[in-house]
Amino acid sequence: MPIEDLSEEGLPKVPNLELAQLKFLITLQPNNKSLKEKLLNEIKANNMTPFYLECVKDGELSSDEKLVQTMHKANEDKLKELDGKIEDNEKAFGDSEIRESYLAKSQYLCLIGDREQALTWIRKTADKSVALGHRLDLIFYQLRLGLFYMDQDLIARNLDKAKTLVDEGGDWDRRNRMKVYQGLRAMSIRDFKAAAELFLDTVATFTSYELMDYQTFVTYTVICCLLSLERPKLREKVIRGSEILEILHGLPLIKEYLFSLYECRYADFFRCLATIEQDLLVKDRYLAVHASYYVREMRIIAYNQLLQSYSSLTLKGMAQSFGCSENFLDKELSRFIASGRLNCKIDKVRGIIETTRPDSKNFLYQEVIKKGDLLLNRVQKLSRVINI
Amino acid sequence: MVELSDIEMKEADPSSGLQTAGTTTTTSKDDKKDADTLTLDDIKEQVRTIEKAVNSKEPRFILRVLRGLASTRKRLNEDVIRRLILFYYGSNSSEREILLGFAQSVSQPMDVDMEKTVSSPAPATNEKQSVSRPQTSRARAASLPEVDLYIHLIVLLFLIDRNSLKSALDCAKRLVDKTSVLNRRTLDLLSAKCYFYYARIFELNNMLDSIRPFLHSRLRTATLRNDFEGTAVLINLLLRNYLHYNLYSQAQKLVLKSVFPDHASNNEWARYLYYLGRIRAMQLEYTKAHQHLLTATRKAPQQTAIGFRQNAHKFLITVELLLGDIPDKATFKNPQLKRSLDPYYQLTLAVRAGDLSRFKEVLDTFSERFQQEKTWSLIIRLRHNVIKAGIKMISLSYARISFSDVAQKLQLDSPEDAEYIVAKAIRDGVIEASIDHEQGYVQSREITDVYTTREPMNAFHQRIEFCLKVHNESVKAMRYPPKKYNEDLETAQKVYILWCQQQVTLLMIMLLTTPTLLSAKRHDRRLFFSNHKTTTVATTPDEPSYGNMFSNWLSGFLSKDPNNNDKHSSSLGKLALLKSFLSSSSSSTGNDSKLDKIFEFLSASANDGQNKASSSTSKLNGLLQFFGGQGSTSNNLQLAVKLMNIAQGKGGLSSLNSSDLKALSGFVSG
Repeated sequence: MPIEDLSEEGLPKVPNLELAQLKFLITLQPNNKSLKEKLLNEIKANNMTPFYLECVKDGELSSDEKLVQTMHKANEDKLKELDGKIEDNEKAFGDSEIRESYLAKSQYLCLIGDREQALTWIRKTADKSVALGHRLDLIFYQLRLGLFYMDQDLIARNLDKAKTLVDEGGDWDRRNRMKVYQGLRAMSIRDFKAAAELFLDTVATFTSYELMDYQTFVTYTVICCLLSLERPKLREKVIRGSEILEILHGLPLIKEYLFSLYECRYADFFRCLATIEQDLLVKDRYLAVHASYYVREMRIIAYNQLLQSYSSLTLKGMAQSFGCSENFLDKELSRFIASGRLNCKIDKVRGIIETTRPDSKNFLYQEVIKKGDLLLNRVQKLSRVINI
Repeated sequence: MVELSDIEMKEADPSSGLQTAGTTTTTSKDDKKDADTLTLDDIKEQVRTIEKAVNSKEPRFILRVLRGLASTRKRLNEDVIRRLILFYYGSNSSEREILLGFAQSVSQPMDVDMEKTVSSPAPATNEKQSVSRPQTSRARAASLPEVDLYIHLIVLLFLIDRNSLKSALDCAKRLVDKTSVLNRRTLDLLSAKCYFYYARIFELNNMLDSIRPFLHSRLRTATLRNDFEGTAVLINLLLRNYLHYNLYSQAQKLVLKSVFPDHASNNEWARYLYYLGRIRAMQLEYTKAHQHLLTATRKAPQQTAIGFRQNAHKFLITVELLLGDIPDKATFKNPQLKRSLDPYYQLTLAVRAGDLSRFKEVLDTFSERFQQEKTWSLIIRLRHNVIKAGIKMISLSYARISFSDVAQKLQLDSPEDAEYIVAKAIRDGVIEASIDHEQGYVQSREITDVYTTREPMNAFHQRIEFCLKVHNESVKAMRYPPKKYNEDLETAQKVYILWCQQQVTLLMIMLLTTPTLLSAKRHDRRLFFSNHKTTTVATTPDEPSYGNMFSNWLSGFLSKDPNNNDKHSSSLGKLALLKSFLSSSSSSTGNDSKLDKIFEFLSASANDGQNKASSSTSKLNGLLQFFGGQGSTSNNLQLAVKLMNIAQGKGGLSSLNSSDLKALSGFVSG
């Protein structure tokens, strides 16, 4: 992906997901004036009455009757104009023109953040649309609306629809676009593995600027990949991936984060992880809820990566390489060992960590018993009909 | 399900109360009338079913009626009850008055005006009905004690739902008096239900202890009469009675002295196991308690009886925690259980973390609730388990650790305390470790390879045993209906049971052998064919060798491609198969020419199947000639027709039974 901006070629940024992110940030920092101002300016510029009312309801912005009135009036005018156009077209022109005017109206409704109306009008437009590409575009609209409001149900439904449509024969551009949407959704429901695969597939052909810019996309890709890819694959796809590397030059934090883990500089890695958690994860709409999970998993990965190479090592040494105190490490390790995430044991008296080999046979046995019991449970439930 | 009725009633009470109060006075009177008539018709239908049951001595029908009791109960109201009583007790005035008295006792405290509006139209419609319909069948119906009891029971349920406990008590007493005089086997199921509600009313009136002698005497009678449903219900009632007053040792004695009938219904079994689990848990036999409670939750109805499941799960979770296990998180996520199990979830989290202070916090917040739910005495035993869980986790994560560290981690006062507790944990077998007293540390032993011990065998054995049990039960439960009887329902049930059976067998095999996909598939196939065989061979039990041969051959070629069954697309293919079978079955080789001739002819008729209308009879005659000119016998004619059909692609191979094949191969071999 060349660095030059191709965002002009993408779909229009409607609804603008940046605003949703802005709104989310304000909930985190309710006293940040500049953020509020920014949001308000955006709202004013586009006369987003419904979205504004929503922000007021959620307490992000203070209510201003006058502003509401002026914006509302602007909305009314614009909608009237659009309605007039629809009427004209319905009378005089063919289906494609009618569709255009419908689309214009739904687009406008999306823009001002009127969710219910927008959805109904998109549905109406979809009824008029015949071409596969057009219908897919409308589904992308709905997906964006879903992402805007984090309505997982809407997203899931439309993704299913999009999948069937693409299978019927969507073009490459839309196919790739869908992958990004899918990946974003996978990431927002903590399915980082799927997200990583989907993102990696589209790194070279990313065009979905309506969702996020390329930098953000690469950031997400790296974050997901680090969690879910094995080292060899990570090297092949990310460390050696020229498209990603190109962008990483502009993102020193992410670059350091990626390479510190890969090059086993654990202390640096922990520092990066902490920064990323504070500056990125917690502040991201999609990742905020998964932040603690993500950081925990990443720590486990780091611990495992270190322990893999040793049969035993001192607690002190390990604490040093991670740049943390022995006590902290002790607490962390004992927790993860007890829950079976790390294969080692601590000899607290001598201050040594001894690694143990994972026992796959026993693990399989446990799994057979566990899953078998689930099955038996269901069989027993079925057998209730049996009445001797 | 006694708990169920608690819950159920809470739901039903206000709504049905409102319904009658609201709708009788408002405009939607007509709708209500229709609904009432429908309810009444349903009850009449049920009464007819009861009559049928009594006449045919099939208690199954009564069971079906009682199964519908819950839905009937929800639709009862004054009007229905009144019309019902008047309808069935038209001639029996004394009985009628008493029952009407009960019904009226409900409406009086509620609203006098409303009663007037209701009572005025009701007798009018009733009189009309009593004129127009023949008196005899109804009178006969009412004279059946079963019907009498059923109506009485409905009145009683109505009283309970209306919360008029006083008259319900009288009503229940009358009802039970009636049952105790009679000695009819068809009554067993009904009277069991009566006992249940009898005890329920006493419980609502808070007089449970007073009926114990009565229950005992009924239990004796029921046991002697081999009335399994009654026995089951009565044992459960007694257990509930004892547990209500925390008389665990008495309950235990009852369990020891009585035998719970195997044939009792699933619901009664669920209740019994639940009570048993509670008793065992109290007596420190957690493993058994766990087993009982688990089976109870499995046996309980899955859609309804939410109250019962909630309670059973509460105890199950507590016992699981006491056993040192952590319950599955999915249990707490279940939408029906989520709210009521929340305190237990908090508890589980505390135990899991081995966090004493958190555990204490949970106890303080929910102590009242736990006491009310009677799990309190079990839960306070958990403190020890919290420590145990903590120690277990420490022994998992540390190869060696000093006591001062242990004390710090478990928030104990001193290293000595920690040493004692660890020592006890080692002795109890919670952890595998040894203590070095001199140096002041505990060393945990390496976890042994479980797979080399006998434990997997035991675990598998336990599960296989369970599978076998389910399998045997499902075999026993197979029932073939009399021919005319409601076939759809029964076949569905049969197929379902058969399917269950297959599932279980399959599972068994999978457990017994290595779980490779191949063996499972092969087995699946075998099952499929064994079913297939039964259908084809069953027609001629007297010719086992031919039947077997035929079915072997059939299954043989089916196994090549199980999807095709015998719906081979081309009729020629079928003929070829048939031919190959015949040539293999007829031992003498010299008759091939005859065989060839027949099939030449058949395939010829198959080929010009398009203009078949013209010459089908002549062809038939031609075919019959092959059969040695004995075309007169009807058997041969049938066979010939069948062969023609196959040749023309109209019929399948399975239309031939083994006697046909025998005849055919007889012809071929001369």
